[in-house]
Amino acid sequence: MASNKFQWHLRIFVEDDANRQIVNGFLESFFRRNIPRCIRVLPPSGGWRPTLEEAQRDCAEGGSSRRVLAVIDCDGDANRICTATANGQANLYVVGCGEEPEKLRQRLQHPGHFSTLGDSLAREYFLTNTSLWLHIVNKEALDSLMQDAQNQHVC
Amino acid sequence: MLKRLYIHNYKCLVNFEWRLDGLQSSLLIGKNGSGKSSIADTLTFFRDIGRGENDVAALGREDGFTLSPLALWNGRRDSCEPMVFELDVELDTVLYSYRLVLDFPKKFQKLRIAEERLSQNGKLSYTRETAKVVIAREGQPDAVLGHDWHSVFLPTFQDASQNAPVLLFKKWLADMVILTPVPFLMTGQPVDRLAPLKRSASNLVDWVVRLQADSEAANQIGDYIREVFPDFKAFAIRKLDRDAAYGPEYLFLRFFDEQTSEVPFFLLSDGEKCFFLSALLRASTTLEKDSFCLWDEPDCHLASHEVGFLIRALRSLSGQSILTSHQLETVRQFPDEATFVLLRDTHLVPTRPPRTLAQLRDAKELKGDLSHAILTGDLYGE
Repeated sequence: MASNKFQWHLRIFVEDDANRQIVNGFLESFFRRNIPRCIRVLPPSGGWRPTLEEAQRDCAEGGSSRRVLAVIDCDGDANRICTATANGQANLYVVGCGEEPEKLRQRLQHPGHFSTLGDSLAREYFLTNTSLWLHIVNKEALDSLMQDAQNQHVC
Repeated sequence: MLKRLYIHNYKCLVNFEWRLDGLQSSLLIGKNGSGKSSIADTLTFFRDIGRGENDVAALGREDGFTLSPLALWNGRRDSCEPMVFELDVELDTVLYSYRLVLDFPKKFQKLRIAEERLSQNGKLSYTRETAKVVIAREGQPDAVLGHDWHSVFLPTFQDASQNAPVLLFKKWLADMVILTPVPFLMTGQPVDRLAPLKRSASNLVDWVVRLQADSEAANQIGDYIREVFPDFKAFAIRKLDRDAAYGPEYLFLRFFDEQTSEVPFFLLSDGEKCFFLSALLRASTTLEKDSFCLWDEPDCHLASHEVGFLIRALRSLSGQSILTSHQLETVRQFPDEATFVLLRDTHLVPTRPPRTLAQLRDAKELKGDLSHAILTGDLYGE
């Protein structure tokens, strides 16, 4: 699908390089390396607050076709997500790593790099008995976004 | 799949070993003069050998350069150190190791082959020292023959077994796609329909003709082009004047309009030509089981917002791909473990062994934000 602002498109804002690699690894695995052009991962914003601010602004400026996903580190503070979604922007989706990806990788004793962590998340996305997704805060937002994408025949 | 590349004494690459460890897609970054294009040169020499070129002075010639003695590290005429090229490639569980050593003795005008060797899974197929070639034969004594000093032996060599594994290796070498596109040279005219694709992609239309012969590839090319030009309909190679009996042919792209209209390929912008080339490349790799591509700076003609899409597409090639780049957006499409950094301090010292961003982070040589490290030059030690 070509990128067109009048058609369904998704912009993903990430907090840092680690999140960028996790997201890219997830997308590559989920779409079997053929990520649709209507999905764009933007450069890391540097910090959870700027990520959310940029995502909120972009969501407000975009039309009804735009979906915005922000991926942040919660660092143990799940309220960050509540803060972001408090103003009720319907097309804004926020998910977070329960803790910093570096710490998460160590805790999970994940053998690979961040991209392979993203790959594992994609592989376990539809599993119900996965422990990996327990470390992701607000997976429901991602589920809802996925459903929306599916309705638009993106995935 | 290319597993390992070793280059010694070629331009700035001295004792340079690069292990790709099964990476399907990797990126080479480094400041100007760090040796990225020299790696592309080396693979071009191997590609030409696979295509049957045995004159050592003619390697690279089709692409407008040659393997000159000047490429010896520092170009020192009194240097005793030979130039060494080694390549390990795994195809169908066979590991092919090929080694070519070139020296430049006094009173010689061109490089001489000092040593050459091919082995399969560690078992020697043939070895050579200057003019003396020794071919290993199963259950029989080795065959010994003389060969021209300046002539590479591999194009001549053919194993006698039924499945001809060396032929497979030579085909892999010959089919390597190495690109440093020059859109200005892509005129959209067929030149020699049998000629392999040049690094500049100036004869891209010849490639179109060959790919068109496969209906699946032709459909895929259309699909890939439509990702960038949603109104693209088809392409055709025809004379400028449809009714003319004679005259040059050109590549045209047809678009959906109120009336379907055609645009000559020649009129596409540099970036659009690169997109077209990428569509051909994607379609071609689906035809070859073990395709290999190295594209030197695929992003240099593109609008910033298109870079990520093209790189993502190239990362999704069904075979193995290596890209080089200076662009931050390209780097962002690759994971740290597949991004190799070439570091070179000055023009008087060779390039250091390649290390991944992940290795640099582990060694605390890369801290904090990658964008900042690249834009400031910190990543390259500046």
